[in-house]
Amino acid sequence: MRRISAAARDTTLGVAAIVLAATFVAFTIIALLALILRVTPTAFVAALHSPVVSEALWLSVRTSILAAFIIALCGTPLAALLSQPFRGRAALETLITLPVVLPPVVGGLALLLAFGRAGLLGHALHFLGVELPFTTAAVVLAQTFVAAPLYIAVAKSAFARVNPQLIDAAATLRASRTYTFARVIIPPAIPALAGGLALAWARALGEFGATIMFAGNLPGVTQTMPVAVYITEQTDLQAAIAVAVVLMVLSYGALLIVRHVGSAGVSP
Amino acid sequence: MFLIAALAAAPQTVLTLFAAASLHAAFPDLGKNFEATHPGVTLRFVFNGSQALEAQLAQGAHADVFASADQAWMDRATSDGLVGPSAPFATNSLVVIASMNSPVQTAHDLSNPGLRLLLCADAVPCGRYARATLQKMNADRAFGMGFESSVMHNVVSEEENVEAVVTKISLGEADAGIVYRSDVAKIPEHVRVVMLPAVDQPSIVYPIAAVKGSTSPDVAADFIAFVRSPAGQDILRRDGFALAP
Repeated sequence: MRRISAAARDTTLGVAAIVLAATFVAFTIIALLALILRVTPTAFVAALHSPVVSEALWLSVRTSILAAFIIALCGTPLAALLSQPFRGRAALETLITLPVVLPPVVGGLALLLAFGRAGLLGHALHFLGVELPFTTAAVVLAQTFVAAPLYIAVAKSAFARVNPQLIDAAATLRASRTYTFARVIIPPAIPALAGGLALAWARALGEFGATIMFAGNLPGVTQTMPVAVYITEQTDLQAAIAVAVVLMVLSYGALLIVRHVGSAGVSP
Repeated sequence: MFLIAALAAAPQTVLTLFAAASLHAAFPDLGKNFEATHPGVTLRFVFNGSQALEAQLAQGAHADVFASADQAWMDRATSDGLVGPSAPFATNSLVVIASMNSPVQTAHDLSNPGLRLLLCADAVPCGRYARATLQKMNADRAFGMGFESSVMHNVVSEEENVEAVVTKISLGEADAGIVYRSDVAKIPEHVRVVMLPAVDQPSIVYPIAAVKGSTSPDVAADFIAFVRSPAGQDILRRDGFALAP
């Protein structure tokens, strides 16, 4: 009797799991489909060719890739640090995660109050000849601020999962810390790192609230795709939908490529 | 207990007002007055650029009254079948606000190279009016040809409603911006007001209309009548607006 009820329970739970999962997938797909179904091919092509859109697209691509680069450069060592236990690790980790939890506009306001002309570091930056608000650099900073925690969290788990026996073996063979990190810790973590970076890049690409607050909105300088969609939506819904679909197609394609490259990095 | 239940059951009408961002001080003042004379009515305000409000109404957002900062967006709302007949209720004019640490002292200074200026985006009424003013100043002998392009060259960001311009100038993040006179009725902190020539300014008229499909059309009509009444006009004038034409 026990065997039968266990099997029945398995089936019930299995069906329930599929129903829940399918509901969520449907929820996502229906929303994305709604966008695609409303766009007309002419509007889509017109959007691709419009100077506002191509400027915004180019700006978005440039800034998000640069942000991803900075995130990888600074986030990787930080994640490596966080993967080892030390006093105050939990506090540091929570602090680093804060930007992801803050509403983006609040993040943008924080950046403005810190690095703006009249901000905390305003005078120091001005002295060095650096003016941040309303520049393309500010766009990159805003994107980095909100997207970095996503990469760092994934990278940290990836590093923590590396087999400690491998690290010990490398130490026994008198490998330097650099060699150990580069040849023993990083390679198995690459697929996870790639996935984490793709996620961070996607977040950077879609960043809106912090950008509009800290960097402002000026076509060609700070008007990224999400900002362009928002501004356009208020006057021309059809054009905005077309721009939104362009952004969607671009993001989807890029994410697919990154996943493919990431999984190709797995050594057999 | 029954009294509390009876009070709780008293009909409460909530009136939702979509109002241009520049009305963010005047409308609550009007509202307080209206609520005092109309017990049982609560007013709820949604402030944003008129273009954003019209887009939301077109997407089915629920509201009872729409007050726009220009006739163009009210006309669009009318042609989209969203509102009833509109009527003007206030006029306004433009001024320059400059942050305290900026070198902008006169309207001429706006064209000085290296300045960081803020305007509203083109679709926002404030942005449209500002660009129209700059065009007229360009043709005005006092400023000369080239003034408009020099000023536009200094623009570093186009905000989606006028209050964003006021905030960023108050924070000292940019040198100056073009906003409404009503925004400086109570001068924001750390800013200096610089006048713009009246002769170069477009006519700035704010229309108001009841939204179609409202659940409280009578109360909406009452509110509109109040805004256009001498008492309402008085409140608007205290908040920096000029009278309806």
